[in-house]
Amino acid sequence: MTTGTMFSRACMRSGAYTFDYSEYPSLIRGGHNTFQTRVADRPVKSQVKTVNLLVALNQNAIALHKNELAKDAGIVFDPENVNVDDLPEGLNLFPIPLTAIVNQYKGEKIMRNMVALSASLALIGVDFSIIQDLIKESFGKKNPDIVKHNLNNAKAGYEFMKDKESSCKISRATKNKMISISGNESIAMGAVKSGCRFVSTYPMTPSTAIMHFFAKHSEKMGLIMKHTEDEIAGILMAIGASHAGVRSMAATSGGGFSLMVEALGLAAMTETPLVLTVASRPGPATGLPTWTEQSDLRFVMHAAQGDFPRVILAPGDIEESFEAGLQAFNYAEKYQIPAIILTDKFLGESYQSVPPFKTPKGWKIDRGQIAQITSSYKRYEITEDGVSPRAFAGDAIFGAFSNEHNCDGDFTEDAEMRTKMAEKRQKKQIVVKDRVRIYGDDEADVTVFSWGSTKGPVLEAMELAKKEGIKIKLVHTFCVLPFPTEDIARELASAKKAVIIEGNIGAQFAGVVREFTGVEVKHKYLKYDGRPFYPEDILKFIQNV
Amino acid sequence: MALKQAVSELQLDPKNTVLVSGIGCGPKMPLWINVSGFQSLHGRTLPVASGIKLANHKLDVFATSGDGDAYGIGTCHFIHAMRRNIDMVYIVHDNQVYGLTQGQASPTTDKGTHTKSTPFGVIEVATRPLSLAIVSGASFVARGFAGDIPHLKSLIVEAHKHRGFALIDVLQPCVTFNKTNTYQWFQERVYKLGEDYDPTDKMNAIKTAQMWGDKIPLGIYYRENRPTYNDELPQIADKTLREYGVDNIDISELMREYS
Repeated sequence: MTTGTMFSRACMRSGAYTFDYSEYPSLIRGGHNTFQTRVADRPVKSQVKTVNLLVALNQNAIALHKNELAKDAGIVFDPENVNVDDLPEGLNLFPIPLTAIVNQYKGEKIMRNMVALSASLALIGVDFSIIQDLIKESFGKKNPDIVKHNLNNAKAGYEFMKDKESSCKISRATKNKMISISGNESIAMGAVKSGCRFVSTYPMTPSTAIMHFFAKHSEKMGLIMKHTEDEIAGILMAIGASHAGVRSMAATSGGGFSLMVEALGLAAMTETPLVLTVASRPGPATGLPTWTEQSDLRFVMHAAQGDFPRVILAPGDIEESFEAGLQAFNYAEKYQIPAIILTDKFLGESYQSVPPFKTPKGWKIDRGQIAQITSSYKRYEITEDGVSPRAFAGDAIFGAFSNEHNCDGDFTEDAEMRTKMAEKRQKKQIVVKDRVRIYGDDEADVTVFSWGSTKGPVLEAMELAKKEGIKIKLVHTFCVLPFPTEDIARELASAKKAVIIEGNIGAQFAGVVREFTGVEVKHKYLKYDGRPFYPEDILKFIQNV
Repeated sequence: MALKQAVSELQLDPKNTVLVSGIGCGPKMPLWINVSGFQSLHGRTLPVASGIKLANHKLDVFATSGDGDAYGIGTCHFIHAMRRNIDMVYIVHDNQVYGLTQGQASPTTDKGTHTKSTPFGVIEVATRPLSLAIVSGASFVARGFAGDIPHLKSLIVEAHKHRGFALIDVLQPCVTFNKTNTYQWFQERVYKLGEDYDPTDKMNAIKTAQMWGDKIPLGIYYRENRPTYNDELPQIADKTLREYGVDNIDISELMREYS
C-alpha cells in the first residue's frame, strides 16, 4: 500500500466513500507525484478540481496546486522546507515539524510520509486504531522494527494534530464493508472469477497492474502469468493456451497492442477465443506514458488484417470494469472471437470504494458449444449461426490453420470454400446485453453521449448541474462493438440537445456514431492533454452549448 | 517422413500430440501427418506451442519451422523459448533460402551467395543457429540431414525423450531455389559425431556448432539435464492448468486485500 492508498483506505474504513486519482511522471523515481483522494458521504466516481486539504511535502506542491485550493482549504506542511507566506488569507494552516518528529524516532526521511498521513487523518477525525491496523497489515510481513517505527511516527503525527480545529471532517456515511480497488484490478478480478487462468503479456503502463495481479495470485489460485519477451509472444501464448482449453488473456496499452495486431487476426482466423485488455494512454508512439486518453477506439475496432467480428467492451467505472472482466470470456468463447476490453489510464489506475463484487443474477460461465467428438468431427463445420462446435487440443485430431481452411481445418484456396468460410465467420449473431446504460432525467435539457471512462466525470457533472437547475441525461456506451445502433439512434432522436464527450482529438466515437446512425452530433467536448475530464469543466461546457 | 516414423516408433497418441507450425515450406507439415495441428503466423511458432504446453503439459508438443521462420523473423522467440526450457521438440527445416517467397537469402545463407534478393551476393555472415541455441540455454541441440532419414528419426526420438526444449536443425536442401547447397553438396560434407564426442561439454559443443564448410557434423551437439519451465511451477505439479476448470471460483479472499 502506498501512503495515498492508506489514506483512502482509512477513510473508507471510517465509513466514507472514496475515489483516488493519482498523477505521476514517466520516471523511475522522483518528479512531482500527486495522489488525490476524494472523501464523500455518497458514492463518488471521479476526482474534482477543488482541493480541501493539501498535504504539501515540498514547495513544489504549493506552487503547483495553490490555484486548486478551496477558499478555506487546510494545508499540512513542514515549515522547515515549505514556505506558505505568499498564499491568500482564509486558508487553514497546519504546520507540523515532520522532519523533527522523524528524527526524534530515528526514522528515515521517507517516514515523513507516515507522519503527514497520520496527522491529516487526525485532522479529519479518523480513529487512530484504523491507522494502526493499516500499518500492521501493510508492514506486518517485514521486520517487526519497521512496524514499530511506523507506529511511533504515526502516533506522534496523530497526537500533534488531533486537537486542532478543522473544517474538513470525515462523514461516516455507510456501515457496509467496502473495497477500494482500481479499474485494472477489477478487470483482473472479473477475469479470475470467470475462470481465466492464463495471462501472458509484457509490462506496459497503464495496464501493468493486471499482470501483477495474476502473478501475485498465481500459486494460490492456480493461474499462470507469463511475462513474455514481447507483446507478440504475449498474445500468441494466450492463443496457444486458449487452443488447449484454458481461458486466456493478454493485457497491454496501445503500443503493445500495435505489436499484437497480426496475432489478433490469427485468433480470428483459427476462431480461437481470446480476451485482450487494452488500457489506453496518449499516443502516437510513446506519447505520454503515464497519462490518459481515449484515442485507441478506432484502432481496436479495426486492427488486424482482414474482416472479422469482435466484441469491444468499454467499461465506464469500477463495477463495469469487473463486469467486463467477467463477461468478456463468455463472449469470446461463445462466439469463438476476440473480445477486447478497452480502458485507459484514468479508469485503470484510479481507485474507488465499492461494495465487494457480486456476480450478476443469473450469470454463469458459458463456454459455448463444445463438440461431442466422433470420427466425423469437423472443427470448422458450416453451421447456421456460424459457430462450429469447438474441440480443445488433446480431445480430437484436428487442424487450426492461419491459412484459409475447409471444414476439416485443412488448407484451401478454393474460391467457393473461401466464400463459405468468410461468411461463416461474419454471420455470427453476437448478442451483448445492456450495451447502453442511461442515467439521469428523461426530460433533460442536454443529453451527453459518452463511452468508457468518461462516464464517472459526466455523472458527477450531472450532480453539479442539478444545483444550477440544468437537467442532464447520460447515454453511456458500454459495448462499442457490436455497436448499439438502435439505442443510440433512438436517444439521438429524442435528445433536446446532443453532446459528445470523449478524450481524443479526432472525435472518434462521434465518427462511429455518425457511421452507424447517420447523425452528426455538432457539440463535441474533446480533451487530449493527458488529463482526465473534470466534472466542473463538463458543466461549464454544457452551460455554453 | 522422419517425424512420421518417430511418432510411430514412440507410439504417441496422435490425439494427444500437437504439431505447431509457422509459415514457410516446412510448416505445411501438419497437413501431412496424422496428429493435431496448429498453424501459427510467420515466425510465431514457439509462443503458441509454449502456450499450449503451459496450459496442458500432458500433451506431446512438437513445433516446426523453416530457417527464415525460426532464425529470421522468429529469432526473439527462439532465444527466449530456449532459456525457458519448456518441454517440446522444435524441428527446423533449414534450407538456407526463402522458398515460399520465391528464393531470397535467409539468415543461414552463406556470405556471398547470389539469390533474388542478393543479386550481388549476401553481405552478412550466416547465422550459426546451433551455437546460438547452446549459448541461449537450449538443453538439447542436434542436427540431422534430410538425406539420412533413419538417423534423423533417431534424433527425433532422442529429442522427444529429452525433458526440456530440444532443437533439431535439419539440413534439408531446397531443390527449387537453392542450387548451391544441394543433396550432393551436403553428402560430401556431413559426418556423424562419434562415440568419443561428449555432448555435455558445453564449450566444446559451442565450438563444434561453429563448424561449417568442408565438414558439417550431424548428431547431438549438446544436452544437459535441468528442470523444465513447467517443473518450476508448483501450481501445476499435481494437475494441468486446464484440469483446474472454470467453475465455482471463490474470489472473496482476493477481495479482502482491498478492504
